Amino acid sequence: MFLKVLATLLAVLLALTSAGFVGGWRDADANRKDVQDALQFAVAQHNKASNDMFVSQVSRVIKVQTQVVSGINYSFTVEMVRTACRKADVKEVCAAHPDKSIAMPHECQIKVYNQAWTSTIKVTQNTCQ
Amino acid sequence: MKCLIFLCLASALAMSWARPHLRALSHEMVNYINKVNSTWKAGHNFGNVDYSYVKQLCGTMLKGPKLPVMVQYAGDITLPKNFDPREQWPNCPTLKEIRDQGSCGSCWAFGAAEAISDRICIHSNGKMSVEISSEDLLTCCSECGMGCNGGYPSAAWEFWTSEGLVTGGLYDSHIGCRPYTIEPCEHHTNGSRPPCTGEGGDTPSCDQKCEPGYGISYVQDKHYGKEAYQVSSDEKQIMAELYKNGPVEGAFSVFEDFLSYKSGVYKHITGAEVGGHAIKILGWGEENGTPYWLAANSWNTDWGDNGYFKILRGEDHCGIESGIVAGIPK
Repeated sequence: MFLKVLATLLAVLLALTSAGFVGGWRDADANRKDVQDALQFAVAQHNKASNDMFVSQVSRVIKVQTQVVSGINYSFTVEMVRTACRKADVKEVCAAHPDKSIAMPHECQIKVYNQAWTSTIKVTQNTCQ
Repeated sequence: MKCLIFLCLASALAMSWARPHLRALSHEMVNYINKVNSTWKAGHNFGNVDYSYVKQLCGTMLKGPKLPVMVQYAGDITLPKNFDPREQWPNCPTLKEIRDQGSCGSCWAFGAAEAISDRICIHSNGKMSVEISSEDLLTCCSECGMGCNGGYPSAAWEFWTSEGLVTGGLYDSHIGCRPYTIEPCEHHTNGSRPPCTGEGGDTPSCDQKCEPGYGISYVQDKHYGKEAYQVSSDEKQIMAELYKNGPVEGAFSVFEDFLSYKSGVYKHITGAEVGGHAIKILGWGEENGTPYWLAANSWNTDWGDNGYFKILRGEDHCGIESGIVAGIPK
C-alpha cells in the first residue's frame, strides 16, 4: 500500500518535472519483460567480455531507466557478484559465491541499445567500479 | 516483496547464462495487436506482451518553456477531409525525407529541423530547398536541454529565431554545412548499414564550422526564423496551421506497442510507457472512418510505413495534440 502511494507520488512528480521534455530517460519497472530481456542480454555480454574464470551475476538491481531513441536505450545500475560457477560449466542456476571476498559485490553501469525492427541489440556501455 | 523480485530476477538471469544468446524475438505482442480489432497493424518486436498493461490509457504530456500561442482564424478557410503536403507542395523534397536519429535522444532536434526545412521551402514557394541541420540544433542549443539525453521542442524553435541554424543532411551524406554525425547502425551482417560502433550516448560537440569542401562559411549558412510559437491543442487549429504554413513539431508518449507499428492508424493497445518522443506532423486524413494525423518519425525508412505513421486524431491520444510547436521563417 505504502509503495503504491509512493509510486503514484513519484509518477506525478516526474510528470511535473518532465514538462514537454522529450528524448530523456524515464524510470522503468525491473519486472517488465522487455527490461528483463535487455538485462539478460547485458549480463551475458558482460560475462563474455570479462577475463574472469567465474560467471558474474546480478545480485541487486539498483536503478532501471529507458529512453526513446531510434529504438529503446536501457540503462541499468546493478550490483554484480561473482558466482561459484566456472564459465566452462553449463549450469542452470549459479548462486553467488559463499565467500564474500571472492563474490566481491560491485556496482556496474550497463547500457543496452535495442532496435526491434532490425533485430539490433547491443551493449553500448559497461563500466564497473 | 523487494527481495522476492530480486530473487526472481537473479534466477532468471542465472537461467539465461546457460543460453546466453537472446531468446528468439517474441511474436506475442505483434500477434496480439494484429488479432484484436484494432485500427493498425504491427510488425515483429522484441519484448513479450505484459497483459497487465492491456487497455492502459495513454499518458498526456505537459508543455515545456512557454512560447506565445498562435491563433489561426480557421473560420475563413475550408479544411479538406484529407491533407498530404507532399501532394500540395511537390516542389519541396524535404517533405518526402525520413531521417534517422540513431541511438541518441535527439528527437526534439529532428522534429524541429525537419519541419523547419519544409517550412523554408513552402514559404519560398519552392524556390529555396535546404536540409536544416539536426546536428547544429542538437549540439549547439545548450538551453534546449541535455542534447542526446533529451530536450524541449519549444526551446529548439526559439533557438532558430535567435541563433539560426545551418544546413546539414543525413549521416555521411556530405550535404550541407553540418551533416548528422551519429550513424544509423545494424546488427545483422547481411544488412545494408554499417555495424554499430562508437556510440556511448555522448552528445557530439558544437563545432561552429562547416564540413571541408562546403563552399559557404558557418555564419553565412545560418537560416533564421522570424517567430516561434505554440499551436493550441484544438484539432481545427492544428489543421489550419498545417494547411497554411506546413509541418509542425509534435510530442507524445511512446508505449512499447508503438515500436512494432507497421501500418494503419496507431492507437495505444498494450505495453508500458517507454518515454516522451518528438516527431514531425505533416498532414491528416481519415482511414476506414478513423481520423488520423500523418506524421514522420526519425527512425529511418525501415520502421513503420516507410518511416511514416498515422496516429488517432481528435482525442489528444498519448498527448499528441498538446505539445505542438512551430514557427515562420525569416
